[in-house]
Amino acid sequence: MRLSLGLGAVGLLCLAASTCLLAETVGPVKADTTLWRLALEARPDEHVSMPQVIYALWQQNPHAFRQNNLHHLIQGAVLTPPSREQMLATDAATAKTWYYAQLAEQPLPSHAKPTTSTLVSTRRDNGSATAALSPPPATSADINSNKNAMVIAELDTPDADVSPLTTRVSPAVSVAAATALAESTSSRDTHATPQHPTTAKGSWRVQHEFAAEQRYFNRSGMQGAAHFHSLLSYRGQWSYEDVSRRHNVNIEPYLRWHQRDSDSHLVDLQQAYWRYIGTGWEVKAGIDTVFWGVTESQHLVDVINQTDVTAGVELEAKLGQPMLSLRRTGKAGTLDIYVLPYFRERQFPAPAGRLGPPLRVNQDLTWYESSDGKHNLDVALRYSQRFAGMDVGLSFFSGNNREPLLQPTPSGELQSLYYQMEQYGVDLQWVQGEWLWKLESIYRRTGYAEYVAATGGFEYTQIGAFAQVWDLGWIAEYQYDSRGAQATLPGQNDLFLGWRLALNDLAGSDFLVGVLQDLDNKQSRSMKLEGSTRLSDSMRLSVHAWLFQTDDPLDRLFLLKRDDYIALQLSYYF
Amino acid sequence: MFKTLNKMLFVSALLCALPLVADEQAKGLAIAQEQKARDRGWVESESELQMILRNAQGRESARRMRTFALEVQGDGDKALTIFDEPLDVRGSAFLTHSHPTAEDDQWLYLPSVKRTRRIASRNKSGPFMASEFAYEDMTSFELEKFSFRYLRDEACGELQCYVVEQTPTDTFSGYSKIIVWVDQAHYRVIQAEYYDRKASLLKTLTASDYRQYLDKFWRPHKLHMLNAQTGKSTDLVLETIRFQTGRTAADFDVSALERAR
Repeated sequence: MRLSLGLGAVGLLCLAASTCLLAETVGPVKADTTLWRLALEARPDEHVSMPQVIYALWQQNPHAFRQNNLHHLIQGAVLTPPSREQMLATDAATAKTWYYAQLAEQPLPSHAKPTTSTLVSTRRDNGSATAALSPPPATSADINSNKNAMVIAELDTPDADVSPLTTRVSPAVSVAAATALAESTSSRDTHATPQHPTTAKGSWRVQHEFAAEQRYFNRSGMQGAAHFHSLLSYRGQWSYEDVSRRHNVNIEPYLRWHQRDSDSHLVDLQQAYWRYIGTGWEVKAGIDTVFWGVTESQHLVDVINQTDVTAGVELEAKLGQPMLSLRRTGKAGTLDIYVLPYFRERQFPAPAGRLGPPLRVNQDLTWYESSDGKHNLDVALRYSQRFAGMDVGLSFFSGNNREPLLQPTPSGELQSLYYQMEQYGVDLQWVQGEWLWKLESIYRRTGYAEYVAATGGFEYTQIGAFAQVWDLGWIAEYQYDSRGAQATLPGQNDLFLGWRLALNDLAGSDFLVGVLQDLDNKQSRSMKLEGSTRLSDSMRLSVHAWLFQTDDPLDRLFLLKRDDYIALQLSYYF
Repeated sequence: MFKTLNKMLFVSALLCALPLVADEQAKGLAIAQEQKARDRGWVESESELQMILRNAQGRESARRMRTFALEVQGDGDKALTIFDEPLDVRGSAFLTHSHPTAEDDQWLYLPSVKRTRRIASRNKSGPFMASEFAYEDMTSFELEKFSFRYLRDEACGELQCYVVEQTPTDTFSGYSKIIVWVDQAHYRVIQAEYYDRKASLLKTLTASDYRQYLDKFWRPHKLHMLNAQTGKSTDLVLETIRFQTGRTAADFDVSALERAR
């Protein structure tokens, strides 16, 4: 007992030393040495995965393994750690797959005791494992002939008597062993949940959300639109990940039904893509929803997806965008490249659905500047990097403008005009204690205009507000648009003030109050109120309300003047 | 004359006491260092957790989450927590890069809007998921976050413990001090008392059901946090924990947050 404690201390010293400097050699291998411990000593930093270290160690030091067998460390052997580059030469996922294959070769003790496990070597002639990679340039014959080197701790039968010297867990032996260990340990408890990380199948996660919303408008609409509107929606999510965690499939359908307006119905795929994750890069093909930006009151740089205007005046909802995207990540930052082969047109509610333009938008009349129309090949780039407390994003977009120009037709309808556009964007976020400073700015050149717009401000969070466990956030953002009154969005010279309150209670209740005040016209403002609380583990109730005030018929808000409303939504998750 | 003598006695008492204080601090630090050293080398882990929140009347509410953790040498650890229950927050992912001296970096990914939000991380004392655990209780134990003072040896249940006082160095911590009971055999936290900024007892933590992994690392399978001021309590139950899952720093990057599942 004392002996094993002493050894433990030695192990600790080794570990402590390994964290400071990269060992020139590791070992010599003792009876209780595990490959995992050696790999820990040899590992330069956490960017290298343990399987990468183990694979490189095994490749570099054929003399230390009997018959190239990972599980047959030869006692007395001294190993030379490979360089960091050698370790990284095999990507993490390949190394992991190889490692698991090796582990699969290892028999598990059938009666694993809670604090004991398999040893450095538990089998004698295992043969070489089913490695998908090149075996080490080993002269295994030499090793075989050197019988003196075979002072491997031998334990042919799992329940053989284990000497104190060898009762050390060998992490390198296997995840499965460790799991079996955890299982046997926890089998004393009732809630043991066996987990098999090395099973050959990936995993699916599925979830659904069903929501019912009731809106009430206090005045009838411009063309006598009704006071009460009901909406029903469904959102599903199927997410698959394979065992290597490299392949990833996500499918997220979204359906909406609107009681008063068939133009507001929606059948959409928010996500339907396959993604492959490599080392330092990933590629994605299919439909996805991408968000860019930092500010709360307006999203200027966010340009990949079409806005789902029919979902509400918040303009937070989007339509899924078909894409092929490539991401490169590294110390120098993250670069995303998007190729967008198909364009999603903006859908507007008909007057009966309210909260939209005063006339119906006829989607059959849609006009494109590009001769390829909705098949125009749009491209986008975004580079992002973090510097201490500062997040920086730079973006570029070229293609169909997501925001159409609406033009009345002689037949009393509206026609959508989609010009080409080029946009350069920058988004900045700076964290300073309880302050978050935010800025988004774009320069956009499009068929009929060329302009600059910006949104900037802060969010300050007060912890323990009102002597409760509440968090109170103060949000202030200024919105600027160089087009002034010709701007297609209300924020041309406006100030947004908002308060966000989180009660940190069991129900996860939160509230948001916001006012967007036009600084050019004191009579023009919009206000919103949002609140939500959990009713049960699978149900959430939320409320939101909007007020639109203006006396200027030329103000964009004037069209919404009669559309003040309050809505109650009940969401059920399963 | 009498006064002067008294003063002299006081000064000499102080002089004697000073090295004593230094000794206590050195011993406190040594215990903390050993505690940290014994937990070095776990590399990365993946665990499933259940949190049971209990109000003063004993009404219970459950939370479920999974946490992936990465040990970082030379800096604070990284942790990614994905919420599974209640269902309305399912899929939300919370990423922390903790730093021993600087403020932690924190992000929250909300799957409903596919948006990653940065969190102003001075929110240390705020409750984690409405539980009795504060954010600062959930981050990695770093020596630089505290100054230490050894108080005494004391029995803690069947074990023998060191009792150490930890004083947070960060003025934004919600605590004025934490008294920790660390068992002498394995340097595991058995119990802790948290004192609020007004120096009154705020919470008591009891760690139990310790199990050893990889023949080295002890993990408590149950943490019970009782708020002495409100009577509310939270149990944090570690249902499973696995090591060697193959995750690397890349899996804990902000850009990977959106694929957390």
